[in-house]
Amino acid sequence: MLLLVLNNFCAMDTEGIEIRIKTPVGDMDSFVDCPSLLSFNDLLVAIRDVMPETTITAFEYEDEVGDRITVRSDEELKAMLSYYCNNVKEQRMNGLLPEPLQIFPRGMLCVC
Amino acid sequence: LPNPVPAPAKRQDDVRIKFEFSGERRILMFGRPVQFEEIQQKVKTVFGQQLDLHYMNNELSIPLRGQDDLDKAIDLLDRSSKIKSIKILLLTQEQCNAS
Repeated sequence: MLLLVLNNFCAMDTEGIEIRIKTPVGDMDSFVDCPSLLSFNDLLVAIRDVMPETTITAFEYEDEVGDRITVRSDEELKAMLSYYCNNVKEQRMNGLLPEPLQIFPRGMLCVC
Repeated sequence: LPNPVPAPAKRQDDVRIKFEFSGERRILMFGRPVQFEEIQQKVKTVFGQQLDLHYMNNELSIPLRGQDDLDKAIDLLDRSSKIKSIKILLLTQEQCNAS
């Protein structure tokens, strides 16, 4: 079981991923070398750097059917990364350049 | 000699469950075999209260009452190449009685 989990994240670790933080004032791309080591808190800190004036407590991403999914924990972050990783694999198989993972910060002052 | 038919690769994957509670959607992954009690427990931890589970399929919503119902939902997920997660609507007891 542990091996399976490691295998799942190996592909991400060798390459790193690009995360695009969407803010009301523009996008901010951030490169993550080792997605398997990324924690929910790391990402919140990164978002707060970009948007110091807002209190960010969570963020959202869009799943395969376009639903906005809220992430509030490491566990949900893992689900998001595994979803994104599968997407990247599919895009590569189709000869496409992988899109960055887009996340939408959610906070008190954020009107998004 | 007949070759043993390998199980579809998808079966090895974790089951993704998309929960919807008061307008917010969250996705959590569950290792197979997924236990009904495990989901109930997780819901209680994540959402802070005991909630009723309703399986969503298009406009249809069916109460998920136990392991049998859950197994059927997972079976439907495995049969479809399009659907990538099980959608579960979470309702409080009061919401259930009202509807």
